[in-house]
Amino acid sequence: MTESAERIATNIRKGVLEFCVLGLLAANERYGLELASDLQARGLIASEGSLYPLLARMREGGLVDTRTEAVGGGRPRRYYTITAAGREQLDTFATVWRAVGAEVDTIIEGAS
Amino acid sequence: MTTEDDYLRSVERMLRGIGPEHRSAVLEDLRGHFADAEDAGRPVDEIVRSLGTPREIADRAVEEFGADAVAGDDKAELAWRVLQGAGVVVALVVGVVVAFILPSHTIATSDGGMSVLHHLTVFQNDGLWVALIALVPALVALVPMVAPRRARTATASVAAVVLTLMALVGGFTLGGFFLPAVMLAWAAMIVWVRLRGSGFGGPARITGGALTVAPTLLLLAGIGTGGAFDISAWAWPLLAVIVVLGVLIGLGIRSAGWLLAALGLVILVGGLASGELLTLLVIWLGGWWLTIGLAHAVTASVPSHPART
Repeated sequence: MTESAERIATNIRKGVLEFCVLGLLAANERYGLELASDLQARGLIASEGSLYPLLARMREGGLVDTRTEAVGGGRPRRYYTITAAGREQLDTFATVWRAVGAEVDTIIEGAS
Repeated sequence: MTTEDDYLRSVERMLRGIGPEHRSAVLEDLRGHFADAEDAGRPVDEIVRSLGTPREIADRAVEEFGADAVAGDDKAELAWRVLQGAGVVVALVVGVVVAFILPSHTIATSDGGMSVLHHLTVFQNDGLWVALIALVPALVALVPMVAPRRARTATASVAAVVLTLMALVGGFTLGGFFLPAVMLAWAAMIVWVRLRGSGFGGPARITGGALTVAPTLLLLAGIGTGGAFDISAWAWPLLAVIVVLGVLIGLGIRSAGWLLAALGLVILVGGLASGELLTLLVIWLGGWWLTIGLAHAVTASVPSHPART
């Protein structure tokens, strides 16, 4: 990716990351490493660590919740789940995203 | 010292600016991330590489919590002002009562062969200047409130120490009346330092709850062992309410702090108004609950927070 392409992608990802997290959690609860690896594999985050401040803020905002379960060796593992408020937020985003995306597509197609 | 510890320590250091509860949430998640990735067989240096630098995490945290980090500082400021302000007011009221209202001196005069006891206040007995000394603690407590903010930790500590010494030097009778103000000054200092540092967690809340209940347990123990305290029947419902409030404080319920503070204030004022030296214990208890209740109320986190979009 060229430098300007990288910059554009970073800006767009920044705005949608929160909703991608909600979308992934809407399908299934996940623990931190799962989410981080998935998002990185999809190219939605540059570094896995930056996910955690976002999750902390989303949790405080009531969009996600956590559940702790003991794994092998008795170590507790924190699972993130989506809340009702989170689902509502995701629905709103989906509506806005489709509308904005359609307009952007129309403009780009008209320009090319 | 492992790479993982180094990494976490470095993140922790860089996250100093954000609120303690957010910082510990991020650190807990990172610890889990390391543990899960190690279980999955990923080598540590690769885990560290894909996490990104501590600086990247800190930058993201400031983006997410920038506004909250500032709010945390405002919270410390407000919490400190409430506690220190309460200390000033309590010291002032106690000073006025001790100097001008409380008949702490008893002198006997002879009136036609009959011995008559006169009860005099400090003001009547020793004059205005001695009486005014009783107002000095309020001034001492006021100094950190007008001193520059950057010198606050120092001025608040000095004020708390000076108040403590004054209460001790003042002797068991009159100095003891200032103990509630001393407790408030120390609570203010601790809250100021902790809210801008590591904050208060579950252990601090449980300690607050335990300290709330402690006087009741001591009274019960005193009765159980045939101690000297005789509690009026009306006091039992009050003590029961305070035990319930102590439990709620341990659970982190904010309003329980306000209620306890209000009860403490009523007990404190009641003790002062009764105007007898024997009520010193009542005043101490009132000050104790006022201090713990206020400290809990101003430090407990607000439960719900509207989602940011």
